[in-house]
Amino acid sequence: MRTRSRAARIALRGAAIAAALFLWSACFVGRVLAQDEFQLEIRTGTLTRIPIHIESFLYESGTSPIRFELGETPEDLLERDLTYSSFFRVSRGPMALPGPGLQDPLLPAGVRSIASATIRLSWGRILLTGNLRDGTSGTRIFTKDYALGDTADRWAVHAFADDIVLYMTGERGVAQTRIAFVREHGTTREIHLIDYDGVGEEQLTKLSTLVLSPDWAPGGDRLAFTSFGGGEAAVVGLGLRDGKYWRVSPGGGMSASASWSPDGKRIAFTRSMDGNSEIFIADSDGGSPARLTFSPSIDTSPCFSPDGGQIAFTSDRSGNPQVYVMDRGGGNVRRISFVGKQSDSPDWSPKGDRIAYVCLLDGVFDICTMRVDGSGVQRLTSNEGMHENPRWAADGRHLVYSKLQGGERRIHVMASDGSGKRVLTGGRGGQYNPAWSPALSLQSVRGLGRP
Amino acid sequence: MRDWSSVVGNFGTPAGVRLRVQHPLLDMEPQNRRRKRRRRPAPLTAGGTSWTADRLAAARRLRISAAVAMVIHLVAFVGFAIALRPRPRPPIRMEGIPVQLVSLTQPPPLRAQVKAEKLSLKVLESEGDKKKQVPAIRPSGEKGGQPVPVKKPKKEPPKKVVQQPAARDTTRDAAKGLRSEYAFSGGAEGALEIGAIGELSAYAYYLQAVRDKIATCWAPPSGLSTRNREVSAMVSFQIDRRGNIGTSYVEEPSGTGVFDAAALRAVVMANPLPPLPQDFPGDWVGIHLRFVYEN
Repeated sequence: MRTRSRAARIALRGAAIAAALFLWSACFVGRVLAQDEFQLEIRTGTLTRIPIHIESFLYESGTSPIRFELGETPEDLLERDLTYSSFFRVSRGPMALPGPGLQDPLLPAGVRSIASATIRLSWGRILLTGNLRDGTSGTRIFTKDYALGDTADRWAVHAFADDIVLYMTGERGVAQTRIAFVREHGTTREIHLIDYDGVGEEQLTKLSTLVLSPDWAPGGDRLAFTSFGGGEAAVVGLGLRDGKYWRVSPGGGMSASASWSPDGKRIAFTRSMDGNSEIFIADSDGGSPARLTFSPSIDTSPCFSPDGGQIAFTSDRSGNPQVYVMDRGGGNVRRISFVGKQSDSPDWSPKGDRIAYVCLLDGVFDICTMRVDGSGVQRLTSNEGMHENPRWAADGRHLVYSKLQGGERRIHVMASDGSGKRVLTGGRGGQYNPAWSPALSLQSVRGLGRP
Repeated sequence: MRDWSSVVGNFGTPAGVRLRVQHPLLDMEPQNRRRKRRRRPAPLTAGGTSWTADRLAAARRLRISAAVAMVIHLVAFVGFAIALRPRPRPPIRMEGIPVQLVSLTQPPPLRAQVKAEKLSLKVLESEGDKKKQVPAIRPSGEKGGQPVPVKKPKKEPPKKVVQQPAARDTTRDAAKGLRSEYAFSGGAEGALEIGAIGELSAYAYYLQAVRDKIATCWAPPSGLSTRNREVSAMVSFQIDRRGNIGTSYVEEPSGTGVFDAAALRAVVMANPLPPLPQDFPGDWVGIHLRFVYEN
């Protein structure tokens, strides 16, 4: 009896070892089997925009044609999103006949992919089933459902557009983002939010005071900004879900121009005492403030690098304002901007390769970008009007800025190569201090603006 | 009770020493065993069985189970090897695409295209497998039911020519591009499977996207002076389903280290690439990317 159980145990142990080794080796065999290889070739030369085709959407029975604000159809919105992404050249056409291989004879030549969608009812909700297929073979690239909600929501189309950008380029789109900015209300200033395409503006703060320079937390659920409530300028945080305000900067002195660290845990800001501005850092809830710069000159406009290891800021320690970079702890300070009489308000690209800033060239303030070592300066605006406050979009391919022209300040957007400039805001009272949000989900957008 | 410390040494408490001694994995070596036995001539009994016997039994058990494991593993391995023995699986998947990509490298003018097609035919003929290969150029051959117009792929490149005016196209470019690709596909030695080719033609968009993204990240070193008019290097890498690039390496160096490094850096910087299409059957795609610089 005993020997038998021992034999069984031995066999069991042997089997276990064998199974483990077997699985381990099987992993490799599986890897070797599931492979596909292709050969490509790159030659020097310029690239054009990707030709993409949008077919009219199909409405299943029970659904009625959807119109958004300004009478836009979902196809219009998708076309706009794809055009704004600055990746695509969009064409439109009717729905293609079903079946593989059969293509619309009106399809423009060289179309790389075709976007289409079906709008249908599912459990009382309206769904937009987006579909992208290869322009040559008609084979599916992806299919995905987007909830339009009971009231048709533009965010579903934005999400579809971002997925198209992802599948066609590997980049994250910015269609599901909003831009926070400051709007003048007579003598006070308040923060407003607007969708990245210039639709759906709403007022976020109602503090009836001066509110300036908003900055998004990386998660898109909080904002930090400068508030003059209570007589002194302070950095204030605002939770967008619960609408709660909290103070970030310590009392005494004037604190302004907050910048979140990429991990969302710290906030860098400028604090002025006795006429000397220095860069400070504190936890996002205001705890453990610490001073980073020690210079009798004015140090301001801090901004984190995307890895959180460095901070770019403006300082006039060389005589006039220029952009400097220091380590997160305040050491290793070095000047990086050498082009232009003045350089101000740096913003580090989320891709980490470039810094956008305002440069004074030919007596005009323009938006420029440079590499993080200060080389490769590119001037993105020409000398018409005064440009300020450049801020990157989360994709590192677009910039938002304010522009003063003809006595009016407006928020503008452009691609990071200076193309595709468009004005985002209008109306009475100047608008400035824009900040581009990270990607926001529909739920968080619904919750925004109602604190 | 024995004084254990005198037997094993002057360290540790007796209890500690006993623990050490009783471990079955200790003293597996027969030599060791013998040496220790010599030092301890008296049988060490505790409750009838000697600890040496226990230890030997443990060792035996382990040996037997290892042998059993070996046998089972061997059987499984042989079985698996038989089940998955390398069937003549030609690397056709590498071949279908270059045909498609002729139009991608750079849209050649019409005359170049004609020349290119002649060239391709020539290569195919030399492989003596023309009949099998020609239908391979058809896209979506596996989409049963729908007859696919054979002429379609041939129509396509001229379309792209109209559409993407190339800055500096020469017939030489097109022919050269083709040649290099066929040099590669020559290794495939013919055998084709139309289904796989049809499947592959569906990913033309993807390969274009990969090429475009890496091209935007590519900064060929300036002032590259060579005697040859053209410098080229091939970089190989894998892309997983989510579009992440795995290890990349220079497969064919150009002979100019700076150029190779720039090519490799372009690939690294382009990470992540677009996710693979939802229906893509494999876990990853292998890409052999040739960087060509023309003086």
